[in-house]
Amino acid sequence: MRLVNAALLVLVCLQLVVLAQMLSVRPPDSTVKGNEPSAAADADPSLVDLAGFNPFTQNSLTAARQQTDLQSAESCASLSDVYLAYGFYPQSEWLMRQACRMEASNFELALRYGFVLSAMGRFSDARDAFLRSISLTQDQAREEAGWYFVARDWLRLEDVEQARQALERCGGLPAAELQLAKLDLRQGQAQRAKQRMLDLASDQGDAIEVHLLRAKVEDALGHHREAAAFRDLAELSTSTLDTPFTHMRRRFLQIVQDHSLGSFVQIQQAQLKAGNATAVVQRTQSLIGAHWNPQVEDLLATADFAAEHPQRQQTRLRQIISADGGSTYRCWRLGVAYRADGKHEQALAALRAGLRLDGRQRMAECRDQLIQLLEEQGDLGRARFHASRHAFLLGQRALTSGRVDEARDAFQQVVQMDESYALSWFYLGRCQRLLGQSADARTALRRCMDLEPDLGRAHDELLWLDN
Amino acid sequence: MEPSLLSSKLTTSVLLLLVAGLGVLNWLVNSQSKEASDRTNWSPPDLASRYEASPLLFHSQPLGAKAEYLPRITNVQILDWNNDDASEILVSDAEHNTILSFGRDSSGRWLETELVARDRFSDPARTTVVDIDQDGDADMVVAVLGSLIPSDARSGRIELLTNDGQQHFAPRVLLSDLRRVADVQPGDLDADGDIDLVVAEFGFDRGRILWLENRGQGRFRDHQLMMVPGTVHVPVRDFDGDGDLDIAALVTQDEEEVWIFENRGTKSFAPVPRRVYGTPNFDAGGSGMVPTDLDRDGDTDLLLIRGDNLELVYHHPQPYHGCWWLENGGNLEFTAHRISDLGGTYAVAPADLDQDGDVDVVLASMFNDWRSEGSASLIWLENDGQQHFRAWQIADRPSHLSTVACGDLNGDGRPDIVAGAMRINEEASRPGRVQVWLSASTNDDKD
Repeated sequence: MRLVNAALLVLVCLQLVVLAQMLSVRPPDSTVKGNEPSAAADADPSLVDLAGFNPFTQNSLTAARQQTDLQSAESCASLSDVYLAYGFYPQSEWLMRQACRMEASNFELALRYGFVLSAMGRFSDARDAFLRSISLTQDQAREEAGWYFVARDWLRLEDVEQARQALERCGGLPAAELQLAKLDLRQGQAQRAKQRMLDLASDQGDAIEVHLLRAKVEDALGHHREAAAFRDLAELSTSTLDTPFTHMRRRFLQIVQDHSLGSFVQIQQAQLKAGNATAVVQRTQSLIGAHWNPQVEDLLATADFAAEHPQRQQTRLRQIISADGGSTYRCWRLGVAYRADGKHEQALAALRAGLRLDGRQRMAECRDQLIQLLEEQGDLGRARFHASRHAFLLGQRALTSGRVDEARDAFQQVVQMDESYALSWFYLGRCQRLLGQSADARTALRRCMDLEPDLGRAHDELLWLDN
Repeated sequence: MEPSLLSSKLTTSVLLLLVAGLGVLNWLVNSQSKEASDRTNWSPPDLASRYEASPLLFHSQPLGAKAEYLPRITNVQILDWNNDDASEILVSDAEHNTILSFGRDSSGRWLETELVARDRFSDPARTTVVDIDQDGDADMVVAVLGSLIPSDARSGRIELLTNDGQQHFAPRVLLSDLRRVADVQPGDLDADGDIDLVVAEFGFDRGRILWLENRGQGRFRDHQLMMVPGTVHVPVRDFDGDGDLDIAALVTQDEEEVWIFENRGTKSFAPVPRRVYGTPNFDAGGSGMVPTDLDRDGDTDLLLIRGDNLELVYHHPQPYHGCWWLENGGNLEFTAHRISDLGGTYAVAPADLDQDGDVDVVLASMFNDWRSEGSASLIWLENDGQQHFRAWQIADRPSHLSTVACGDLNGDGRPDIVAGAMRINEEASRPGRVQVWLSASTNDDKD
């Protein structure tokens, strides 16, 4: 017994020595270092070097760090998300690892940790994290998400068999079924792919990529007419497949949006509308200082207008275009500014430049301004021409949103205004074909071919109708 | 029970409790201490691509003005487009929406010319020089995206810049109502003696591959070859060696495939598509494809690069990025060989950089880890003559290089390099816009 006690005593002593050593080497806690670039920042993974970002984003990201005490899993995980969104991958990984350590049985954290590792290309570690997340849940949807990410990484490693096994464990998740169908098709199993697509059709069957893959499958089976019908559906669809990856991606896009200069500008625009132009200018200049950014200049141009400085507004808008290039939006802004200042010729030139750039964003507004100006000048012929192009744009928007009836009516209106516009006859014919009005479609398409014999698409549509 | 035995047992129990208690305490302190130590001794793992310094020396210099905000150079080429017996640099600039040409005057000074007025079109992706009207001078065909931001809007078009013979260009829209156009390539596809065009309508979720049949007098009829989003490049070559021109297409987005449309040589061009390469890595990020006879066996191979990485706003280089050689084995059979692992590879140009008679490869990166000091933006792959490659780093700045080209710019008979930068985000490390690297013969010339 004495021997046992002696041994135990030695053990106790040893443990005390180890404990003393560990306590003597514990490092001090680090502190927030602000947003200055610092070599020392690398020593603390919860700090990042924000040099190069605009002042608003710098402040916003610094605040995100300062508001995080890193004492809870959630605080570590939320800062990890912010860092991942802004590309600080190693720091994000470290923080999410701490979060997982603090709450080792949390499915969500394990999955997010896997996502960070996967985004860094550390696939083996990511797989361990995803498999751990799967082991932590009984919820089927969560399990499916975990297996989807495992499969995605196997595909990125080009291991089709492992990917297949993981995809098969996704319980019929549409995103997984689509991947399986793609793999089937690649391996010459078009019939098997088609079966999967039929099952998929009942769920997220209207997604663009589902229609496009179905068209490929039908082509592979020699069913070219069916394939063409699915391509039509792809053209009319507005939805894309929701996957666990896109779900995760949206989270990070939102974070970037929240901390971006754009969100600051948005808030200030609301202030401008409320009549606080002076405060907006002061706040913007004190925050942004000498940092040049076209979004901020655009905001200040609006403030110039509100403060009744039209010349300053126009100068600023011209500078944006001169420094960073034109766009339909920027030309529209300049055109509106000129028009408000009574400079109609300059307004016309700016608006025409905007339409030439054809960036689609603000095309309708740009065209609308131009029509109003031309009408004011009594140039009704040109105003009518632009009104027809305006209606054409609305028709195209309706068509790509699947609203074929509405699109047909718009194109009909266009050809009434300008019967020499071949492209509108083409779209009218396409709409009529899609609506089953074959005779009308033939007439419209032939009219198109008369006006523009080289429009191959019209020729193809006619062939479709005739076969 | 004897008191001594009792006392001994009591001592044992106390000691056992102490051992257990101290054990738990040690474990707790150890775990906390490990976490803190992890934090203090932490340094970011280095996942950037960087390589040994190039034994070939280059003199590096920027061209043209600095970008006032974000540079958006989408394409650079080196060629003598104006037949003055000196190479120019042709630049597609999506920042100012124009096409630039840089040439050297007699004193060697670089002169910059805008070949088309700014803001005639939005976001040119690439300019192709071709004598489309066959009048003996170089015209240009511009693939217009209409928007760098992914979108299915019909904002794309093809602009033709017709040369009046005095190197002045008259622009006109060749084809509109297209989704974002990434590439247009010329070739007499139907063997009728005129130049037809092949179009990569990249789009976003939807897009197409087209060929435009030249019907004379500047008129073209569009023919759809495939409805598929994400086509980046469409080089036109005789890939099967049967004497007519075929079309290769790099399709990215959801597919990551290379297709070849085989010309059957009939008067009415009826291409038959064949998939010659496909990876199950649907996230591969195919970013470009360039034809070249890498192994000098007389047929046309393809250099395929991966590195597009914009799924998350701020990127990270991936282990599957880099360059692949698709070796043409005849009969439209291609074998893929990986020849580089540069993270974020976005542009490739073949050239015999070391003048040893074989084809080397220059790669530019847009999505390397730019926060890691020394990460490569420009490298070259030295060919040992047997298509085994060794990577050498030329530069780590400017970063975010989206395009690269090789050619002899200074008339010394050796290939020089030009690259252009494109930035999507504001972060301002290692800035630059258009940069040249002139081959240097001695150490004294080194930058």
